[in-house]
Amino acid sequence: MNYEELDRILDTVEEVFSSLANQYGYYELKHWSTERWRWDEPVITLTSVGRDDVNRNIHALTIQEGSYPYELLVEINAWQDEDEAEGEIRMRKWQHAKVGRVQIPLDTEQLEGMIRKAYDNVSRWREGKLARKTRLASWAGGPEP
Amino acid sequence: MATAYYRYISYPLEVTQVVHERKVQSMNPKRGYATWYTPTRYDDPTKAQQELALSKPPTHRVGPIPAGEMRDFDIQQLPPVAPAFGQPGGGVEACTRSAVWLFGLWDLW
Repeated sequence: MNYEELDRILDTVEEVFSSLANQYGYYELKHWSTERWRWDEPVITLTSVGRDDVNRNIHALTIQEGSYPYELLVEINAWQDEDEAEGEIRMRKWQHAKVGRVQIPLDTEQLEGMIRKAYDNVSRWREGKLARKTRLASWAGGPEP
Repeated sequence: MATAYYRYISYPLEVTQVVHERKVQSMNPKRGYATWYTPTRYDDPTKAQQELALSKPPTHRVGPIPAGEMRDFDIQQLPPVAPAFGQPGGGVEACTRSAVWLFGLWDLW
């Protein structure tokens, strides 16, 4: 894996993420943060909590052919977690969509357009649009080896 | 408090590093070798992909590593894991930049 080259691509995406979050942060977002290389995957994520208390994220994942990065996949998620059965069960209501792909080397204008489209789409997902429902794994001290 | 931790790997060179050096650590210098773990043992790689919200199922699992042998975690994600790549997430994860050295039998000759 070419970490240097991949990280430079993620740098470019982070600039777009930061610009977007700074633009909308004051009015629409309670919190936002970026993270990259989670579990070593060449991905960068913008996570935000809206004033409607819906969690949202935008992922940009670098797709490689061998060690050659050729495409950036942009996708969105929104979710809310809540207790059921008097706190015995934790459920996640969520939604997911792929937004599109951007060729590498990145065209900054095309990238900005794709990220803005992702933001616009995920911002429209209110609580009622979180159609998927998953029971979250319970964890109390970890399993036996 | 977790009793043990596991690392899930998909990168062949990191698998080789574990086998030959007994060293568990990410090989990514761009984030200071930040290495992710979970207290959850997954026997099914697709379940690991689902709960850790990974883009593909991991190929290998390392562990159990007793909690007492783990260095302090630098990044403790607020559980549960967020959705990604069409996976719901929901797992638990934490991250350290320190290497973990596994018990091994070494041939000195």
